[in-house]
Amino acid sequence: MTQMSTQMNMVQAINDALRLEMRRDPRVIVLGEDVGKVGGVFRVTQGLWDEFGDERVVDTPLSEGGIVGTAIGMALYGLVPVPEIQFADFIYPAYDQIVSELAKLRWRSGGEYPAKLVLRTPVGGGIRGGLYHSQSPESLFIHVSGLKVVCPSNPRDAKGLLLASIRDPDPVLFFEPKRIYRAAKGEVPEGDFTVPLGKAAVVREGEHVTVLAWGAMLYEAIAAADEAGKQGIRCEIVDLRTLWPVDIDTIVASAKKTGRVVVVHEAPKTCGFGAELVALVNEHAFERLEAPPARVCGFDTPFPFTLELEYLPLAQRILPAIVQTARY
Amino acid sequence: VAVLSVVRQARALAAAGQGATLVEAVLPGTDGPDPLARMRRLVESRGLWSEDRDRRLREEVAGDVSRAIDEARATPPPARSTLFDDVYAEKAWHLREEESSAG
Repeated sequence: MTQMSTQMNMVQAINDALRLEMRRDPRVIVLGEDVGKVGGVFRVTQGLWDEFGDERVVDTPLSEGGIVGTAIGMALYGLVPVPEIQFADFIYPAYDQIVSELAKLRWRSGGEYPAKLVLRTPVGGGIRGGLYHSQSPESLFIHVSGLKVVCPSNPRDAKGLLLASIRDPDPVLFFEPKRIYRAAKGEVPEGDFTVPLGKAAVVREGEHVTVLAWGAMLYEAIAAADEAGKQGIRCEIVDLRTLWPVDIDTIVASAKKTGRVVVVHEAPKTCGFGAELVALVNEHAFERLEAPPARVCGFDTPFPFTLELEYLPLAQRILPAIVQTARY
Repeated sequence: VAVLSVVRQARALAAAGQGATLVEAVLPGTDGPDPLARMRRLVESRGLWSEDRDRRLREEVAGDVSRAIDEARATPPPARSTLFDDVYAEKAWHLREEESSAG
């Protein structure tokens, strides 16, 4: 039977996933600042409060540590909370709860008391949000043992990955690239389906240069690859989708195929996830490399307001890296 | 005891509609009177506790602690492979890789 699909943007797809899973599983609880009556500042949780009431869609005080701490408590007692942090830039007051409690509970209880929750939060720049509404803190969480980190780039993946995240037994940080919340549209299957965690998508095949990207920067990588194509350089573009545990097999297979790798991300370059990806490529594919892996990233500055398009690794900065890597 | 007495008065004032009371609670420093010793004198003076029961409780607790220490010392350390268990529900590829490289 063919599954019906509907045209949606990312906001609608994530809302659809939350509604579907809340109907399917009474343990799923949404909580966060303004997620209830208001429906979230980006309207991602719109209508959930009307359907499920204020015991399952909880408007919380402005206290990120409290939101995550409460969610961990709910999880320990068997609920499946999906807390929202309104912007990833505000996640730091909850960092201790995430790092010291959430990430370690399964390990320190010998598997007896895992705390399973999915923390949703919008990430990334490009909406003129300035330094406190634009950050991409993924590497701070990838570095912490025990967390899974997911970042979808399109509505279909957003729905399928969120459903997979809620059903996964481990805590997941679900980073939603806000720049493409409404800009990325596409067909999304109706009803239940999942996109498996830990599997990247090769969104374009090519034999000259592998470009690793995710979230909003995927589209910049595609635009740069289009330009490179005019110069005869055919790029293989990999959308990581799950950042950690990353799909090492797909990355290594592509790196061995092309021998040339460019990593793109919005977060600052130093100790960004790109550093880990380059290290992994070196460890697993060094003898097949034809050029040093390159990184095109945000700068090691706070996220700027007026200069955000200069800060972001947009296509015009990715293109020269692709060309240089291809011609090395 | 002082806190109980003062807060009880404050509550009585509030319940009688005479408004809020600010209680300034001055905590003893490390060189001040020992509140545990004072509490013990109080409960002993009321016949709720005694020297004899105190000694027996201390012996019982000391026995529990030393038995727990002996048990822990007699338990062999966990196998090194268990280090990589329970980070995730299923062992992820990087943990399998690290486990095998640890030998």
